[in-house]
Amino acid sequence: MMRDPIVVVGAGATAVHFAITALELGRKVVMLDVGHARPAPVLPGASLNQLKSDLDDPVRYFLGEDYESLILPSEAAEYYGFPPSKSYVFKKLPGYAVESKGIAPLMSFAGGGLAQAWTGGAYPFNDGELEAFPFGWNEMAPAYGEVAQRIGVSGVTDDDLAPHYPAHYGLMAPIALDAHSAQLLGDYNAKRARLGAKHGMVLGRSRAASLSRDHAGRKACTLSGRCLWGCPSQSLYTPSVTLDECLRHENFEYISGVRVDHFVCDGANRVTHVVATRVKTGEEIRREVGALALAAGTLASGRIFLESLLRAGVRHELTGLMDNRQVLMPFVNLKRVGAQFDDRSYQYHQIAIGAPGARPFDYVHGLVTTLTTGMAHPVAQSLPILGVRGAMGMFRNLHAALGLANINFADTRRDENRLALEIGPDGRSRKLLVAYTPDAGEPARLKPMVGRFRNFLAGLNCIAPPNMTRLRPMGASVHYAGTAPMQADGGDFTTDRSGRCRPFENLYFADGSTFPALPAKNLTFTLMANSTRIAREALG
Amino acid sequence: MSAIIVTGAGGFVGRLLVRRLQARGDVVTGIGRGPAPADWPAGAHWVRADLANAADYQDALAGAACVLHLAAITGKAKPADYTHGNVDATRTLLDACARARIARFVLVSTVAATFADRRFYPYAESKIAAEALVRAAPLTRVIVRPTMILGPGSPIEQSLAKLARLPVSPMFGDGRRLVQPIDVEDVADMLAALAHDANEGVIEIGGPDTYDLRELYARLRAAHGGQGAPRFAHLPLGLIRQMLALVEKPLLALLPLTAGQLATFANDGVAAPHPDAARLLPHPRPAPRPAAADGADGPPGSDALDAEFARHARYVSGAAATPYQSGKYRDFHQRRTLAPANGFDALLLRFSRFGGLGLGLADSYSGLFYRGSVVRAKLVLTLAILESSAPSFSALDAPDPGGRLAYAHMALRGVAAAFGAVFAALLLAPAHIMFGLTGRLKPAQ
Repeated sequence: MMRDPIVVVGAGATAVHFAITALELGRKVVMLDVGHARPAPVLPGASLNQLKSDLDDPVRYFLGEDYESLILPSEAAEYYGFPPSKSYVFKKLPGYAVESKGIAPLMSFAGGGLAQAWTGGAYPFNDGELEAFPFGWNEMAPAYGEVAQRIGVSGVTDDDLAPHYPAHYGLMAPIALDAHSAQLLGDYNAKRARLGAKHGMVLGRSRAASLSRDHAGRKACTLSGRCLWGCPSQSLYTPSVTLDECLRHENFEYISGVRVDHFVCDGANRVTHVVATRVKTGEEIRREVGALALAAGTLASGRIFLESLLRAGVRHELTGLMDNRQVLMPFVNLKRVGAQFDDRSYQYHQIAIGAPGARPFDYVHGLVTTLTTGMAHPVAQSLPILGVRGAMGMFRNLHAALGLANINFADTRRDENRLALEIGPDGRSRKLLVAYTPDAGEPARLKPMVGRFRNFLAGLNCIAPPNMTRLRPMGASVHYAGTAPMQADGGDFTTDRSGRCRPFENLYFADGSTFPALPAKNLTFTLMANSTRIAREALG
Repeated sequence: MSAIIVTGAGGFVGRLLVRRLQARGDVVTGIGRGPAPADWPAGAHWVRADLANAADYQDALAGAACVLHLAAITGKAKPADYTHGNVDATRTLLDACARARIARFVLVSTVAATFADRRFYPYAESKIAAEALVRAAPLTRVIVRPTMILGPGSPIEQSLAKLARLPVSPMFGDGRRLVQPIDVEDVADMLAALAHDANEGVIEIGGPDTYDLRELYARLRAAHGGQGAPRFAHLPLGLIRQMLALVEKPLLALLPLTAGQLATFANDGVAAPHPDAARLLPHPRPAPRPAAADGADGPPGSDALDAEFARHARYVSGAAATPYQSGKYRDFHQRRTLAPANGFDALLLRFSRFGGLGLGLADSYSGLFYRGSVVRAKLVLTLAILESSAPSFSALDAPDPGGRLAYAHMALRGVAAAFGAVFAALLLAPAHIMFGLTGRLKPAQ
């Protein structure tokens, strides 16, 4: 039984759902977090293109104060610049040193965490995908339902993807499809039997944490076209919604502007307090702990954990780090060439492609985004051969026809992928080492699957130029997990099914660290559901 | 003092001519397609008219002693436009002059009418046809054929001077064709004198010196502040003319120049001596004039950046730049450096300042062979600013032209791009290789 106060480290997707569940159970919660603040939404009633006319300095909004979202020609260019309005999500924390090998880790110190910039995919893991977990769908279903009810998830349960997305409580009707997604779904439905037989793949509506009707004080999606730039009405859920809800609880204390460094244990493996540093002043803070929930994300939680062990005289490494490999496959829908797009439409993925494998865990998940309100210049300049003017001319006819399949691959725990802490020459400074090597079988697994997706899209009149398909670097998906896996009978520094870290009495991991395996489906919804489940099992 | 009619009075030669005539005490009526130029002199009349529509200007001709017909379609245009603007308009004007009982008519033609090699050159053909109409007309008529006209505001001087100032100057063909450029002031003097003369005939007029195109480049380079002698990259003239001719019918709007315009590089453009030329223009000025540098090579100041952005904006989207957008372009350059990475990159950048042609070539070449060029970066910056703000974003949002025509238009664009790339490669690859050979070229990104 956890004693109060429940100290939660972090304020991201995991932390806020752990905290709100604890609060609803009547517990006292203290949340510690760096908490970089988000800017207030601008002109909340305006559509995307109205921003270009109505803002005083629209170029600053779209390209950034220092043009940081401008993509100039270079080989490594991404297909879109990160919106300046979301730059707070990845804002660095001075003095927080990270060194990486084989992976480009991203971290967030924002209030609300990484999911402040997510695209809303809400995919429950099914029994096959939960195979390595010490519990199955039946035990996760209530938590998925509880979170869906909290955040609002829209989607369907009767299309070809439904068998891969178990139905849970709290689903609402889907949001109106944008014209391109509607075309793809219509074309698929017209020849689904043939496509299914030929490619063994299915297409259907994705599930999204976006509101098709007013819910819990938030307004339904108004199709402002501003998804990418930051939903001004919060109809696309972000964890800051739940953080705000926590703040309304009298039993909730939020201490932001602090970086948690380590915890301190007594001789009986009981955490007694947690030590943090005020980011601005460097002042040290100590808070007494009834129970400690590390929910800062796999990397940050791992660092706190390793530092705490180090101070207790134990030099340790956390192994089994996982991340979803992603392949970005831009395509052109030949039926949409020359069409006019509507900036007033939903912009994130509304359909998804599923590619079942030999085992349920091998399922490959493709999100299909028909984003039209991203900046044109990064895409136009990526067209081969052409000069800028020629490319922009082409792009204008291709604009409404462009789509992007984001293909996600599952990952499993391997010992060579790890987190370690390096002690600086002064003996006090620290550097988090993150190392990742893809398994030797990855190319053989990816290549045929990429071909299958390309052929499947071709069956939907879509051409995906091979030279534009890009393997994203490890770390780009920001789906880190696996360093303190939940195991039924694991050894020290693993966790039990309620997230308690062995051999500690009152230390819990609530975030992705606890995943014993990482299915292809985007993990954020499961992070929220799992931390909700952990809070219920640990506190109930 | 006479009443004189000048067609094309708002043009490069016409503006000077009107002032010359006024200085002689003539009452001048200018005819032009648009509104009067902003600097149209007081005391001169302006008639806005299409020459092919006599009703627009018939009344203005009444009582005039002489009509000086300067108006013509020049530069880049469709064959039908040359016929309409240079032949049909001349015929209508001559008929109107006959009705108004005009005694004297002066047609400004071109030395190109004497070119032996007029392949793909509808302009020259249209001027020959216009000359024939004038010869057959029942009035006192003079046909004046100037050579290449240089001087402040001369389009051809501006174009060639930019080529001549490049580290490596593209030269179409061997550069041994002869020229005898004439200063625009001399052309105006000559025409003003002819308005009051009594003789008839065909008079070719040129400057004091005759030399070849390589020397012309050298003189233009010196006159425009370039250092040293030009180095030439010789390009296959015949091939380029053939290629341009092949594609210019459907792609005229997208091309930087036409096959016909290259006739200057294939023919000697010199004036046959004529006693009236010697009598009326005894001491022509040297052309080109020795002049101060125009500073286009220096680091861009804020005016230069504004001009660069306006040029880029027009080139990328056809849109005019707003002051806000121009300010953002400057703001970016204050925060970050967009400087050439090597000698060839610098050459491309200077090339891009050479009008729509230079910018188009630098862009096409970069797209194919040098995607990390500073010109390309500047164009992408321009595009990013245009798509982020009003009013330009809506044009960039719209299909081009979309609907059923989308595929045809894209195919056309593909052909134009391929052609531009081949042309740019012919022009720039030698320089790219030269810089590579001298070790100053970084690998293209």
